[in-house]
Amino acid sequence: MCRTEPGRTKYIVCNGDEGDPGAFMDRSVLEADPHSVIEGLVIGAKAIGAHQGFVYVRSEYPLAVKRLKIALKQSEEYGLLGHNILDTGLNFNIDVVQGAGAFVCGEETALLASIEGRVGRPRQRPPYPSEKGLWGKPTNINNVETWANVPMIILRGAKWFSSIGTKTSKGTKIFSLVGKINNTGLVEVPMGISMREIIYDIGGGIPKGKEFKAVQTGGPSGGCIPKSLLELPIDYESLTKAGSMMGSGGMIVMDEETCMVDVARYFINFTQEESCGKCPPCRMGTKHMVYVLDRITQGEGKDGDIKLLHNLAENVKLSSLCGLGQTAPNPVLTTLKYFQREYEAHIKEKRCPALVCKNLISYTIDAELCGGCTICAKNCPSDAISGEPKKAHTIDQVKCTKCGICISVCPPKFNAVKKVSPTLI
Amino acid sequence: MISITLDGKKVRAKKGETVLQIAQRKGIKIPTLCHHKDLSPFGGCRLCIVQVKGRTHPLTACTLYPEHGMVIKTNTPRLRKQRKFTLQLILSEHPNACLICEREAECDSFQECIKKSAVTFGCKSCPQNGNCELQDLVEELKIKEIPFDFRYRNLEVERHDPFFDRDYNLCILCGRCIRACQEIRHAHTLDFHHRGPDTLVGTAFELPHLESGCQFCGACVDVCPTGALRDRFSRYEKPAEKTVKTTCVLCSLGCSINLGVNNNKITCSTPSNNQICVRGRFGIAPLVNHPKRITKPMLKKDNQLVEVEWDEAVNFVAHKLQANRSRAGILFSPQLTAEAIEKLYSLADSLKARLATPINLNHTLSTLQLNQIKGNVVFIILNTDMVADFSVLLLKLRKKFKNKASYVVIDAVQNTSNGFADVRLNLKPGAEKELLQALVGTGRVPRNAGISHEKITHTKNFITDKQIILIYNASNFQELQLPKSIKQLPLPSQVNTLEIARYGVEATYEETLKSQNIDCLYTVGVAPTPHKKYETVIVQDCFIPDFDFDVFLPAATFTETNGSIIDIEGKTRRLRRAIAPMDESRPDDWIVEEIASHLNLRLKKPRRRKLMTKKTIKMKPNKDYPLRLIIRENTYLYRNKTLSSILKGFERLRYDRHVWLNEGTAKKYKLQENMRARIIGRKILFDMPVKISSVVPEGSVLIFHTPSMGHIENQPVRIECTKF
Amino acid sequence: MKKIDKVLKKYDYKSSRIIQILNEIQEIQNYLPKHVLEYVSRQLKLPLSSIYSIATFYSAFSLKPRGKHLVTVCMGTACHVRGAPAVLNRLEEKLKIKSGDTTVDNRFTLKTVNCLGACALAPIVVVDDEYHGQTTVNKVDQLVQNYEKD
Ligand SMILES: Cc1cc2nc3c(=O)[nH]c(=O)nc-3n(C[C@H](O)[C@H](O)[C@H](O)COP(=O)(O)O)c2cc1C
Ligand code: SF4
Ligand code: FES
Repeated sequence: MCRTEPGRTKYIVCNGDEGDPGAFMDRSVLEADPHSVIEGLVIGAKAIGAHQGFVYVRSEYPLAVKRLKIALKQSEEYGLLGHNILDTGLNFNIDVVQGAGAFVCGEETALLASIEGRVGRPRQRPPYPSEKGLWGKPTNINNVETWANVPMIILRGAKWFSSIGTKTSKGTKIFSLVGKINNTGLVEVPMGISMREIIYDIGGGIPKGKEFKAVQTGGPSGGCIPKSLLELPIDYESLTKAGSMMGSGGMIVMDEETCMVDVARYFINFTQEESCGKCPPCRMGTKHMVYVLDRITQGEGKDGDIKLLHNLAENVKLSSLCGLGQTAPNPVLTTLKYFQREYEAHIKEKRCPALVCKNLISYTIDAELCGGCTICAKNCPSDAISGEPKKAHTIDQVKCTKCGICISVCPPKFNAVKKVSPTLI
Repeated sequence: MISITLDGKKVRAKKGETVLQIAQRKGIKIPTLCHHKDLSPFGGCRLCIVQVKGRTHPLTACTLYPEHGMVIKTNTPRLRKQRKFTLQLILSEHPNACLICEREAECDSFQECIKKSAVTFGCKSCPQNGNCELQDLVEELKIKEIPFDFRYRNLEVERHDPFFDRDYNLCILCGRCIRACQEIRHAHTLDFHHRGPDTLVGTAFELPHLESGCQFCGACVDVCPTGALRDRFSRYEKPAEKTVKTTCVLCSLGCSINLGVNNNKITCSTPSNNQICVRGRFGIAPLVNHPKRITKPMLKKDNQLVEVEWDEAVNFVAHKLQANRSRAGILFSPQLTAEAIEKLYSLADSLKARLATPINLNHTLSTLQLNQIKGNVVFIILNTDMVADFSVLLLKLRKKFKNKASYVVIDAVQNTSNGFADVRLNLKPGAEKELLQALVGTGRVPRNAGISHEKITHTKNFITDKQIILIYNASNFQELQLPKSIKQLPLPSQVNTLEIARYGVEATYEETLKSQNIDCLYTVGVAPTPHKKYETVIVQDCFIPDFDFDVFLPAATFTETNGSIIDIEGKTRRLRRAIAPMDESRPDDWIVEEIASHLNLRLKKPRRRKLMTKKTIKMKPNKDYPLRLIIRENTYLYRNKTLSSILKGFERLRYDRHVWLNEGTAKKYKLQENMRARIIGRKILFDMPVKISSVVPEGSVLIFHTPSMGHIENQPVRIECTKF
Repeated sequence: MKKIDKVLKKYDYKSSRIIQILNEIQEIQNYLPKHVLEYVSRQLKLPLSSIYSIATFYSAFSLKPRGKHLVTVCMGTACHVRGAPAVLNRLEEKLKIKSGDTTVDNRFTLKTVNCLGACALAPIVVVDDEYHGQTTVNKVDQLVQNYEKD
C-alpha cells in the first residue's frame, strides 16, 4: 500500500511489542532467528523504497534486544544493511527501539508515537500509517512474525504459502500454548486445524486428569472458547465468529479449576490498566466493567448486573477510539455468552463453582481425613487453625484469610483440607 | 474540491476540511467536547462520532478528513445512543447530581434540595454553572439518569496558585487546556500524566504552576469547557450579562480584550481576538474593583483629608494652578487616554507649566512596522524578557514566521525567554555593546564578557545571511549605534509612548521633579518621589499615592471611559466604556476639562516641543562599589501602582519590589531571602527585601525599575544588610 | 551527570529518543530522579511536562527510588490461571507493602508485570535478574528469606 504513496521518505516498522500476556512467539523469533526479521525488513524496504527501518521491542525482552543488535551488526558487516546493499543501490538502516511497558503501544498509531518519542496514545485511523505514519511519512508496519515469513514466501513463492491453510486464512500460524496443559510451548500449525487437535494431540491434554473447560485465544482482545466448540477450525473467520480472535496467537488453556468470571475480570482489569486514557468509553467503560465484575466476584453482585455488563461491553466495543477498547469487552462478552450460568451462580447463589473467588469460598478440614499432624496449624499465618496433635483440626472461619497455605501443606496422605463454595445464607 | 454525501445531501468540501467543519458550515450540529476551533483536532471525547458507509465502527468527525464520495450520517439512532452512553460515562466521574435532577427548574427559584449531600458538589456550587458545555450537552442529549455508580475522584482542589483554582474532580480530560498551553502559548506547562483511568492533567511532578514556568496567561482557563479551571476573581460571579470589547492599556501592545460586565461591575477580562497576557487576563477586574480604590474627591482641610464635592475640589485646584502660573509642573502617566494626554498638553501650554512623563523617549522614534519584516530573519533579543513582558508580541512573531525565524537571546539575566532561544548568550553585564558589534561587524569581544570565542563564531555563522532584527526594551539599554543593515525594534513598554514622543517633552521627569522653579505639582497617574517641599500637590489617580498631597481627584480607570490609545506600532486603538465610572470617579479628560473651564481656559491644539534626551553614565565597578546593578524596567504597573503592590497574585508571581541576587553573592554579604538590603550607588539608595535566584550572574544585583525610583541606570553599587 | 551526558550524546541529543534515554538513565540511577529529568529537559530542549508525561505513562519507569532487590511478579494470563494472584498476595503480606512500593528498609521493591513471555514456567517471580518458575505460596517465604540475608 505504501508503495503507491508519493513522497521520498518512507519508513518500515516491525512491531515486536507483543503485549498480549501469554504469547511469546515474537520473543522466540527475535531471540532465535533475528536474521529472518532483518531479511524481511530489507525486502520490504526494497519493495516500497524505504531507507530507514525500526524494530520496536518491548522492554520486558532485554535478551531479544541484545540478540537483535548483534544480528544487525553482523548484517552490516556482511553488507546486508547500510549503504548500497549487495550492489542493488538500496540504502537501508535499522534501528532498534525499546518500549517501556505499555500494552497499548502495540497498536500501530500508538507505536509510531512511541518511536517518535511521545506518549503512546493512539489516534483515529484514517489516515492509516501507510499514508501518514512516522513523522507524517508513509510507513509500513507489520508484526515480527509477518516480516519473518517474508523471506520464506519470496523463496518458495506465494503459491506454496497459500497452499497451506484454508481459503481465506493462508499459511501457518504459530501459537503459544500455555496454561493448564501438559505440553506448554510454541506450536506452528497450518491454518484450519481444529482446536481439539491442538489441545489434545499436540498439547497432550490437561494435567492431573482435570476436565478441560475453555481456551482463551487472542489475549485481552480475544475471547474464551468453551468445550462445546472444541471442533472449531482455527482460522480468522471462525474465531471471530465465535467472539474471539486470532490476535497474536496466545492460547491459554483453562480447566475446571478456572473461574470464568474471574478470568473476565482479570482481562478487563488488564485492559483497564493498560488503557491510554484518551477516550471515555475505554477509560471509564472498562473501569465500570471492573467495578461490576469486582462486586460479582466478591459476592455482592446485583440483579441487573449481567444486563449492565452486556450494555457496557456492547457500547465500549462500538464507541472506543482504537483496537484496545474495541476489543477489550471480548473476554466479558464470550464468557457471558458461554458461561452465563457461572455468573448467575456468583450473583444469585453467592457461589463460585470453580472455587476461585476468595470471598465466596471457604477452607474446611475434613475431620475424617485429618490425621492431626499439626503441620497446617503451624503454617497458618493468621492462627486460624486449632486442634490438638493427633486429633482433627478445625479452621476458624473468622480469622481465616483464605491464603490457601493449609491446602498446600497438608500432606498428600491425608489430603484433608478442602475448598468449598457453599451457598451463603 | 471534493464532494461527499452528508446526511443524504451532496456537499462540496475543501481539502483539509474536517467533517465537523463541513457540518458546522452547513448548519448541522454535531455534539463536541474536546474540539475547540483554535486548537488542533484531538479526537478524544468521542461525542462527535459519525457513521461512514462501509465501516463498522463510527469515526470522530473532528479528526476525519473526508475522501471524495464518502457517505456520512451524523445523526442516526445508533449514534445518538452511543453518544449518550459516552456522555454518561464522562458524567460518572463528574459530579452530576444536579445535572440530572428532575427538579432542576425549581431549584433556580427555591434552591431547595432533598439530596443535600450531593449538592455540595453539584452544579449550583460550581463556578461554571450556566456556562458549562457539559451542562449544555446533558440537556441536548436528554440525559436523565446515569446507569453507573458515581466515582468521585476525590482529589484536593488546588488553590495554591495565584489567579486560578484547579479542581480536577471536574475535569473531563478533553485536553483543551494542554493544547492551548502547547499550541497557542508554546509554554508546555501542562500535559497529561499517568494513564488509563488514572489519567490526569497537570504540570511536571505536579508542581504548583508558580514553579513550573507557567506564564499565567489564562489560555487554559479560557478553553476549559467545565469548571475544572476557574478564574479566582470571577469564581462566584454569574455568567457575564454583556461583554464589551475594548483595549488593555497595561503594556504598550494594546491588546483587544473583552470585559465581562454584570450589574455595572467588571467581572473578568478575556482575550478578544488574539491572545493576552497575565496582566490583561487577571489584572484588570481586581484592579478596577479594588477595595482600596478612592472614588471620591478629597481635600486636605486642617491637615485632615476629607471627602468633598467635585466642585469644591476642582475649584481648589484651579485656584492653586492660577496662583502658580508658570510655576506648575505636570507629571503624567502614558497610560491615560490619548485624549486626556492631549488635554494635559494644552493645559500646560495655557498655564506655561512644565510637562514630563516617566518614560525613556530616547529610542522610540525608529519604530518598525511588524508587517514590514520579511524573509529569512533572526531576532536578536537584547536584555528583554520577551515572555514576561511582551509574550503576546512574541506569539505574534512566532505565528507570523512559523518555524522559519530564529531567535538569539542576549542577556546577563537568565530570563524566561530561554525556552525558545536558538542561541542564548549569557554575557557579563556591561559588555552588550561590544558583543553586538562583534556579532554584526568585526569588533572583538572583550575577554571578560564571559562568552567563549567558539560561541561567538557559532553565533556569527548562525546569523549570517539572515535579516537581523534587534529587539530591545528602550529602558533597559541605552545608546546603540549599529550598521544600517540591522533593523531595530525598540519596544517601549507603555502605551502612547509614540504619541508622546511626537508631541515631545522639554524636560525629563527628573529635571522637572528637582526643578526649583516649581511650586505646584500636579500628578496624573504617576508616583514620583518628591525631592522638595511643594506649596501644593495635586493628585489625580485611582489609588492614594505614597507621598503627601493636598487634593485628590479620583480618576476613572480605562475601563470606565471612552477614548483611544496609541499602540506599539503607532496605531490608534479604541477604548470603550464598559461600566459607568465608579462612584464619583471621573475620566481623566473630563477632569482636565473641568479644571480648564474653572480657569476659563479654552483648550487648544498643543504645540510641539523638542524631545529631551538624557546622557548615560559610564562607570566600572570599583573598590567602593564592587557590584553591578542591573536594571530591568518593571512593565507590570498601572498608573501610580505596581501591580505587585496592590494585587496579591502579582505579588506572588513577580517579586519585582525585591532586589535579586544569586546565592554566592548573598552568602558573601550574609543576606538571606526576604532580609532587607540596602543598595547604595553614587546617587542612589534603596532599601529592598532580598530574593535569591540563580538567574542573576555572580557579582551582580538585579532590580526592577519603577518610575517612583527616578531615573537610574546600570551602574556599580554596593550592598549592605539593614537590620530593619 | 557525566554518565547522563554520555547517554544523551549516544542518542545525539535527539528528543525523539527520549524513551531510550530514560530507559538507560533508569539503568544507571535505578530510578528517574527529578533533578536528572530537569537536566535532560534543558539539554534536549524538551519540556519537562512532556518528560514527566512519558515517565508516568510507561510502566517501566519509576520516579521513586527503588529497593536493593526488585521483585517482579508476572501477572500474565498463564501465570494468573496458575495462581499468580495468591503468590502476589503472599509477597505483599510478607514484605508488608503493596505492589509498586518499596519496603521501609529499602531492601525490596515489589512490582508486577503483564507477561514476561516465559509462560511455560508459570507462575513466575523474578528477583533482580533471576527467574523463579512455578512459584507457590510456600516458595515465596523461602525466596524472601534468601534475599533478606544480603
Ligand atoms: C491494543 C492493541 C495491541 C496490539 N498489540 C500488538 C502487538 O503486541 N504486536 C503486534 O504485532 N501487533 C499488535 N497489534 C496490532 C497492530 O496494531 C498492527 O495491526 C500489527 O502490527 C500489524 O501487523 P501484521 O499486519 O503483520 O499483523 C495491537 C493492536 C491493538 C489494537
Ligand atoms: S482541565 Fe478543563 S480543559 Fe483541561 S482537560 Fe480538564 S476539562 Fe479539559
Ligand atoms: S469533539 Fe471530536 S472527539 Fe471530541
